[in-house]
Amino acid sequence: MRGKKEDRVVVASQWQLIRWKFSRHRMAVVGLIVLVLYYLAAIFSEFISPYDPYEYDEAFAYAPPQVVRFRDDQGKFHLRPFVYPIKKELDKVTWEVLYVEDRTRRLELRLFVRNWEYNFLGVIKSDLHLFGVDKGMLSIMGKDTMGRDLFSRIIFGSRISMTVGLLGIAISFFLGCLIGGISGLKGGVTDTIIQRIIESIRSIPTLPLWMALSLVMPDNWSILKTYFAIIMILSIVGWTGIARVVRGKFMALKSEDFIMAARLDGSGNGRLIFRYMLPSFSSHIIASLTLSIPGMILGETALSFIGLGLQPPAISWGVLLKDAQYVRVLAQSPWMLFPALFIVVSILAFNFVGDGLRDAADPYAKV
Amino acid sequence: MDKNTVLEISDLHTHFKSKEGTVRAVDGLSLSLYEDEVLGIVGESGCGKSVTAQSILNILPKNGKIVSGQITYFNKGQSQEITSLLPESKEMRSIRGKEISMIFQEPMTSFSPVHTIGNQIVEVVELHRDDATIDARAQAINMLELTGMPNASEIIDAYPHNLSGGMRQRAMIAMALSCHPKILIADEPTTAVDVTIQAQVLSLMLDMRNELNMSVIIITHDLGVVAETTDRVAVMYLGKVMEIATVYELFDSPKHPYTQALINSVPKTSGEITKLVPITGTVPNPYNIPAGCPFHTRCPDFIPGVCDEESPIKTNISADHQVWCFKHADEKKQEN
Amino acid sequence: MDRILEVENLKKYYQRIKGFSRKVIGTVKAVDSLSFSINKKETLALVGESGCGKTTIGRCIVRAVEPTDGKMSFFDSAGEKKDLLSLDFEQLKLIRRDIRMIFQDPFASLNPRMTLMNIIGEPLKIHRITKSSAELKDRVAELLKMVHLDPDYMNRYPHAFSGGQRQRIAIARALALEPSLVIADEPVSALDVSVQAQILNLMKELQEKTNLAYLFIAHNLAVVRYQSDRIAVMYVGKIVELSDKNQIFNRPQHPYTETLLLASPNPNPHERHDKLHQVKGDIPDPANRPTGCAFHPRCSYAQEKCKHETPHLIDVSDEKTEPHLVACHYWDELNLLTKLPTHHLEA
Repeated sequence: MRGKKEDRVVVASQWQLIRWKFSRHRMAVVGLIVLVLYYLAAIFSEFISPYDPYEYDEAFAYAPPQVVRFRDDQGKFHLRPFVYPIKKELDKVTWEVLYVEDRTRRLELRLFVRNWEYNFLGVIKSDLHLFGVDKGMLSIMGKDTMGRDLFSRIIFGSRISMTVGLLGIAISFFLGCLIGGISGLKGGVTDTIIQRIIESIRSIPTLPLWMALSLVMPDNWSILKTYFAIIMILSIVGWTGIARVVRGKFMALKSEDFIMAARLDGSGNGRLIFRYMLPSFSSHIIASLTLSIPGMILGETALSFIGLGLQPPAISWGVLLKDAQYVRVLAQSPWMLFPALFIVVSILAFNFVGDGLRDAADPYAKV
Repeated sequence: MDKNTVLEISDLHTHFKSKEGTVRAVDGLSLSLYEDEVLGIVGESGCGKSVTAQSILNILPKNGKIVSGQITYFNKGQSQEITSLLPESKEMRSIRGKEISMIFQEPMTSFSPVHTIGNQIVEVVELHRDDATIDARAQAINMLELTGMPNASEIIDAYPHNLSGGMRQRAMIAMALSCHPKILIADEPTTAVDVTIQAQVLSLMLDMRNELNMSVIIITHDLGVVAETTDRVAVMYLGKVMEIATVYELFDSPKHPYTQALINSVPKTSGEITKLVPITGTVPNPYNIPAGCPFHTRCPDFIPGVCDEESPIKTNISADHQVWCFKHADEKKQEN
Repeated sequence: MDRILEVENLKKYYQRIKGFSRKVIGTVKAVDSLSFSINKKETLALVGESGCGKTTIGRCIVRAVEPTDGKMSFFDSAGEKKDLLSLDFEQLKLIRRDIRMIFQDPFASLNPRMTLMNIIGEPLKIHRITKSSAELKDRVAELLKMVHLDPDYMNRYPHAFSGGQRQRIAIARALALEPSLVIADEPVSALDVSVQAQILNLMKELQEKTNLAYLFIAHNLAVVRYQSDRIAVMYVGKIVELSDKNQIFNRPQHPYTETLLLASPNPNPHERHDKLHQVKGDIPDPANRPTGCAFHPRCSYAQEKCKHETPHLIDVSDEKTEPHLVACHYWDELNLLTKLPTHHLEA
């Protein structure tokens, strides 16, 4: 058995070694699974959401989440999960609106129900949804101020919130590699100047900078335009971290023996950079990219939360959390904080994956 | 035995655990250290020579553990069992540094960069002195002077980075010897330094041995260092001792095929230049040590069915010369 | 004898630069006016302690480091003299086929992300020596066999190999372009003692097979004595003695060579005496080299003149024998290595 494993190792490429090492990092694997689920949700939002995120029903404003049960009031066990429908009642003393469960009926949860119609990716017309109830109202995470389904809105919010980080990182990656690469390869005065610029950018407090930049965004921009503008704003600071990593790696690699050996083999600069240097640290870059995504997600959330980022009707987790700004709302409808839970979980997942990648990034560290 | 034993290691097993498996770094080591002698432990990387030193001082890394065996320290008619002490116990700490001291490869790592040399030596002295009236600073200066440090009374207030490489080596030795230990363990003391500095460090260690009447264990991979400095030598391979002999006997009539191969594979600075005979193959994977005699996979005198099945037992060639090899098992009277 | 490389007055100075204004605060003369030559098929050793500049010389010759000043000439297989310092990129690329390099640390000198096939085949591909991938594969297999490795290993990655095996791979890469000069920078000092001999013997074997010349850079005198034909002893950027190896070991003429010999541990306990005790002093910082003869603060024979006048490298041999170059004012007054008991010499 040992022999077989060794046979596999001797011909294992860098990426295979990284994969093996990563898969031994349990939290990172869990994080990766969570992230995959998140992105699947972002892609198939319409299918997963039981309700149209814009469909409102004033009658159910601030309706609380229902408990999904298997055992009914009589203690009887049902194989199919169900919820009790919600009834609105008025407290005769305080005149307060109360939502109570109607224990006489069961609403059974079903897979693949037909409900509202949507255009998946603008082409496939469908009304099929992952789950839902046949008749009546389902509210797994409660309803918002206007009676819109919070769960559906969170799922749709992941589209913006989870992609802001990715796109932001893409721009940062491009700028970082370019500027960091020049800095690291050229060295000397160029390097000194670039490093001082990076330091000055990094010394600006980010939140005020973002706020100032978002304030100059015209109000009449479309959601899409604002979305990209926010990404640009977030990347303005984001690239500096990547640039530093890239520069450091180039600097260290320049003096490596195997790089000099490649030069003496006759490799030109292009071959050196693309065949030798980049593959040597691409895994490190991926790890540090992963670790900087959470910052972008939090940035978007923060901007939208204080009302300077995306505005309704756009749906992002930050926009959703804006509803939870008031103590009164929080005290009476704590489920309005569900978007925060999603943010926390996604950020933890990114950090675990990033940690795992960072540890696996150099599979040759101890051989 | 007429020589006084100061340290006795018997059947020591030290193992390291990691994800890949267990490494039997020291695998049944028995060794005595006599008073006033310089004992060399020589072997290639992975032979367990440094782990032996760490086991003696009870400073093994977290994943390392003494699985079985005894290390007994004898002092003034009393004996102290080191393996029974906890690494951080008071008894262990009073042995470490005071009775048994150690110097390392890289002198910079044994000093803190933010304290002066003097403060660090004084601290060691104060920690271990029995009599509070002893002037620790005076003793530190005295020790630095003993190591041949020029203007010791000024150097004592210098920081490690102020000193040149050779001076740092001296300061490190002064610190290790500041409590007049009975045993000094030098783990590859000169691997990181140039030959002219190495010569000075080695001769200083030998001088100090005479000055302070201590025993020295020199751990090295360099047969030259062994030949220049030691009285007796233990040759180790993959956690086991292959041969122990006085330095002259070891080089004049090595008995173990590994010792012979090792001596034939290193070039010399004098005498006729003969073609070196390399040892074939490479050191086996420490996770997968060959059964029987660990050297059998590379041994020119390998006896199939014997060497790869049983562990060789000790054969006494003479009172001071033992070898663990089946080739010699019949030649001399066996012990046990 | 046929020359393959001539180095004249080679200099490499590094400037120590401080702060944003990049002010020069000092000059390190890593290599200072050095001259030597290497003959075809011979092994010249450069020996010295850290900071003596021996590694810098090797790197200057392949122009991995740009020399500050000097002249280096290489004689190619047609016997044509090429000035190494006036080459353009394409010419340099061609010269680097003839002069190859082996590095000290076989763990750092092989790209861990490439298979042996790619590591050894890389120079063949770049210089378009093999026409097809089948030919490339055959050539790599042949090279692996030459360094006594199994050609089946060619799809493996370096992490599957031990230090000694990796150094063989590095040697195969160096030999892929059939060079006439190989610069070996401490090729065995990172290896276990038992495998050092494997590599040393392999290098000798390949020299005989392919008529290579080696510039063998090392700090270990015993290794140098085994491996080389001639030895240049260096001390802080300068050659202090250069001669045939038997001359260096039996009749050293420079006090530093004597010091090195005294300090080098010899695996023969019968020859140990008080010799280690005769070594004194620290290696100077190359940025702060002593005046005059750089060795004078440590030299037990130093006189007033040594502090002020830099000795030149002169030939002290009588006409019949090989040249013996020494840089010492008092070489003919000293009787070095006589303090050792006589059986040191007869051994």
